Amino acid sequence: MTVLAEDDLQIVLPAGVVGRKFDDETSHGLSHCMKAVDFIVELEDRVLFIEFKDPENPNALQKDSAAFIKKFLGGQLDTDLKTKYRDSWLYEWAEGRAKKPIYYLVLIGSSALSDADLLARTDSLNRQIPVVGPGGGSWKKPFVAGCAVMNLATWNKTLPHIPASRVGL
Amino acid sequence: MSLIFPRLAQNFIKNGYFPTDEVTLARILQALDIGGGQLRILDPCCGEGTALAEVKHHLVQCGASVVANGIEFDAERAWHAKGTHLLKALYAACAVTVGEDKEKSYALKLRNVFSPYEGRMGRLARRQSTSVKAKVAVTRAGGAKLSAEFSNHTNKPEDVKVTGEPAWKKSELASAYIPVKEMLAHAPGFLATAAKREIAFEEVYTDIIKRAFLPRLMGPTDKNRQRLLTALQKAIDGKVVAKGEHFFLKNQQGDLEFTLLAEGMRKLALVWLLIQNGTLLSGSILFWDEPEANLNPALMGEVVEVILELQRLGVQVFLTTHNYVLLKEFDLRKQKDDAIRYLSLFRDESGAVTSNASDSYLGVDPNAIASTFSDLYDREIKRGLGVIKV
Repeated sequence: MTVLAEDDLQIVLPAGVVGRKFDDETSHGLSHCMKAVDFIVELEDRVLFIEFKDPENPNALQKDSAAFIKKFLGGQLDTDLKTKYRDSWLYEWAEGRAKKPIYYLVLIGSSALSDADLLARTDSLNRQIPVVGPGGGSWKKPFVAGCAVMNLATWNKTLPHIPASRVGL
Repeated sequence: MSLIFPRLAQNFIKNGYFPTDEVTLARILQALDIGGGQLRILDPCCGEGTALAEVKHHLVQCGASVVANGIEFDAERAWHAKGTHLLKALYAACAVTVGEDKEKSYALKLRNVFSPYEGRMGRLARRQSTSVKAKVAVTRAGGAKLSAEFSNHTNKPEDVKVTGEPAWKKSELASAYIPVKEMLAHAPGFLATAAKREIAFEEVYTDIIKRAFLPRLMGPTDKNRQRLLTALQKAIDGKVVAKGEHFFLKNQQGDLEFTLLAEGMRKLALVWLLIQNGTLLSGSILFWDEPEANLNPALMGEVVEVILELQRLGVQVFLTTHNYVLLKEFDLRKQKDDAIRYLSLFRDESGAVTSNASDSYLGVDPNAIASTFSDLYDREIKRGLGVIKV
């Protein structure tokens, strides 16, 4: 059983599932020029690129949390999320590891976001990456299979076998 | 075919859809007869079921035992009426305290703003197969209470039992009701036509046009009102002027006919007029049915800001909405001293409409709007991620 944690958020991988911290300066080696998602998890039929954002981190100041939510809802973090995915994909592809369909999961540690907010950000991320190719059609070689922006509740509903929780709880 | 053309000619949009008009319905009923027996009738696009209920009633009178079934795919429409009904009942109570409506009884005003088929009050009672009594009661701060009681058999407003009316009318309650459909662009000739009863519009439409025509309030404009007027002028990019019965938006391009403006702009222009002519002053009440209707979502924030500002000026605002963006704008723009109450209307186990109140958006329960988004979100996640096997 592997636990992947970033500050106060964590996910627990079931036995036999391989996952690694990707956004690690030492092992990544190119963080001066490429952004990186926090974790990469390999399942039987797919690979998950996982990014954590935690505005409700117990160590965060309230005003910082509020500022994050405002920026997040306003779409100002979309570019950062998009770039992290694309750079990570490029890295993995260049390393010869992008063999399975890749899904991008963003976990937001905030109970203040409604499903409507999460839907809006998921839509936006789909457009930004972009999931669909030119003219609204499929890419000939898709570089992303799907993406979702979730909070802890939605994550646990969608991925009950890879539970997410707060480290401190 | 003979039924179709008159229907087209007389079919008026009402809250965004086209109910079967009275003339057409009357002709349909004339053509229907049955000598007893059992019948099942189905309206495949029944809306709120008004025409279906009439057909059933007619066939029952012909001696048949009738089971009526209706299909309405637009769940929102099926739910829509609740909030609007509350707004109208409250508005009618306010309207009879001021101006020419003071001559009307509450029952008559209720009938006119709801405009039931053939003006029959009984049609405002909850529909069910047995006899049913209805009561509308409005209480205001200070304790004054106005009520109207009738049954599903009551026809005329005069037969409605109204209590508390003289005391209720002693103090004026200035108000305005902004209906879903914007009307200023259709103002020319409308009041005259409505006065001749040639059109099937609820009285809220004539009332709002009359209020829009009121002359500018004399005297200096206090700074809060002026700030609001200036903000609105910025949003609509001009001022509203009336020439005869025609409204124009006056700006650097000249005078633009209302028919050339987006409907959302016309609504903001109407609010500007109501503030400018003193209809919306401190102590007055604004009823706004679905401010989001036909509004560019980008303008939603400004509309909400205007509503909040009106509240800060001392205007009590009642609005209905089915719109997430509008609700969320209130949630995000609300300041510490703003007083907002959310009422969630829903049907309880017996099928009766009831409400839950909350002073915060997150406390709204049940929240049909948020539930709709949750359902969409769930399906988007399923579509985006598929089944994740571990």
